[in-house]
Amino acid sequence: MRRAIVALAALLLVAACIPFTAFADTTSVDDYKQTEAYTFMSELCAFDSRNGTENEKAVAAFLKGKLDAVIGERGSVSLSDVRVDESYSTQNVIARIDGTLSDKQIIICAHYDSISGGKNVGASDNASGVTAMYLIAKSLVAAERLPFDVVLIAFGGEESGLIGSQRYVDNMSQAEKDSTLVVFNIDSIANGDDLYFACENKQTSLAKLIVSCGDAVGTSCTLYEKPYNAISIGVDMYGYGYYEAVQSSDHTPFRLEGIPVALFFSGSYESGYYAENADASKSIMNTTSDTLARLEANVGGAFVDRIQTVTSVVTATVTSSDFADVAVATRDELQNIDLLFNSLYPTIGVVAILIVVAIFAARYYRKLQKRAIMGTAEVKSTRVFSQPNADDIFSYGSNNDADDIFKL
Amino acid sequence: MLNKLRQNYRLSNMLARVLFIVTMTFSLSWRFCAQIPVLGLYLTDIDSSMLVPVCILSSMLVAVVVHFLVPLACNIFLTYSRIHSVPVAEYVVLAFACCSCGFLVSGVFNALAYFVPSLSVWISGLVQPVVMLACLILFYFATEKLYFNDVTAATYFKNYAVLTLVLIVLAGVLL
Repeated sequence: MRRAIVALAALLLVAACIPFTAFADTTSVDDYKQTEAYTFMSELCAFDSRNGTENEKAVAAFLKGKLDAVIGERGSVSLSDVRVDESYSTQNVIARIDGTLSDKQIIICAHYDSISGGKNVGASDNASGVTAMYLIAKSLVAAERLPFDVVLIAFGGEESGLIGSQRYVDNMSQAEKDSTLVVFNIDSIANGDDLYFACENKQTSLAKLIVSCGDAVGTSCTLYEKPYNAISIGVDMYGYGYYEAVQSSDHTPFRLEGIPVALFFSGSYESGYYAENADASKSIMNTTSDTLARLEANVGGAFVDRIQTVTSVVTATVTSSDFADVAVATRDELQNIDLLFNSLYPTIGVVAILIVVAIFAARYYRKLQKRAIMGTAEVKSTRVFSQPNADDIFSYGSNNDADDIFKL
Repeated sequence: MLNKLRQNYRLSNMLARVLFIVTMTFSLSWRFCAQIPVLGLYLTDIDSSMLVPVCILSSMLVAVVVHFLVPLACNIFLTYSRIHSVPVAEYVVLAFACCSCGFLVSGVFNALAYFVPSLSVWISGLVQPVVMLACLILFYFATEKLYFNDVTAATYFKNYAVLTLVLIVLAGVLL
């Protein structure tokens, strides 16, 4: 009896310990608010608005401070001014973690601004992405020194038309573009039906590596690769040759320079963006409802899982021993999005065909004119249909033989 | 079968119209499937489960409307070209048949563009105009052989060439 009581007590003790050991890393409904991801995101969302010159300057200074504290002696953090016009300028926050060799770099980016027009917190778009980028910076600083530099950029002016990223790419030298292995862009990963990533509109080595790294690290939520060719349109909005909503983010200026990219995003519940299960009632993207409270109402604590998933997958991919080789191979696998190839050549083709047809038409017309002079003007009474009579053929409506129409 | 159809104008007319609507719906559906979600971003959000039915229904609506415009366009063309020797109703049936062939080919290419979006610009920019041109040329030779003699063929060709030019410019502007 005494032994049984001791065994029961031991069993109860073990059972009581299970939640604190086996599930220590997951974010349950109760404990997601204690995570670093949630804390950092709350701090970002505490800025009433992250758009406009002054607001963006304040957020950029905040992010610089945070990244400075993380990176310390392992690299440097700087602010880069992006002046648009008299009324608007923004800043890019650029942090660099030095690698053992300096001839290659990767870029991990997320935009920190929210949409303009009043009080827009932008919790999902894109406080969530900046949070993931910050956590990746921490992971990479803690990891072994990588052979390449890691550049972490919080872009401003994305919502105003990819201004920060476009200016950054414009200022890159050709050598810098050539030495950039991959750009990881994290945009709006919190609110949506699921978590996705998109590299190219076909399978590439980079996409395979991301999938395998996701499987290897065992993430708390599943990261899906966006199916190729889903929701594309033959309108060339950026120079890809076709348009997809996932092109509307900061990785696009890099991709247009031939640099392999990977975009992490959630479905956003809007069918216009990629979503397996669109639900307009939960759609808060680019609205003033994109707040932390609304996010929690929509997906509960799952957004913290998504941020942590992106953090661990990107970290695992970048630190993978195959990464550099895969990145180089991916550059050769990219689709041809040359503007000449996509826009000018088809037009030239059509014009050439029309000219050829016009030449033949002119010759044919001259032939017909000659035939008109030399030929006969006999009346052609050929008819395709032998029945019913001419009244039926020459006019519509009034036909009285309706019963027989299916009779062959 | 064809000979029997030639003996039943009303059935041929109906079949040609149905074929026209079906092939045009097929062709446009692929295009709409690619475009409506993006348009939905700015107009109204469409539930993804409703996407395919919405695309098919809207394509069918367009096809039905266009199917009423084809006889009208043929009538206007023949009247303004002062061609009165052509049986208009027959001409319209042939127009439906030729358009159906064009939409069938065009639909296959639209499907290809849907599955391989990197080709979509080439398909909409080069292949579709060529298909349209081929269709117009096919229709011209079919009707010229049937209804025009040595004297009237030149006039018909001249007017038809102008019509072709107008249609190509319109297609370029609208699509």
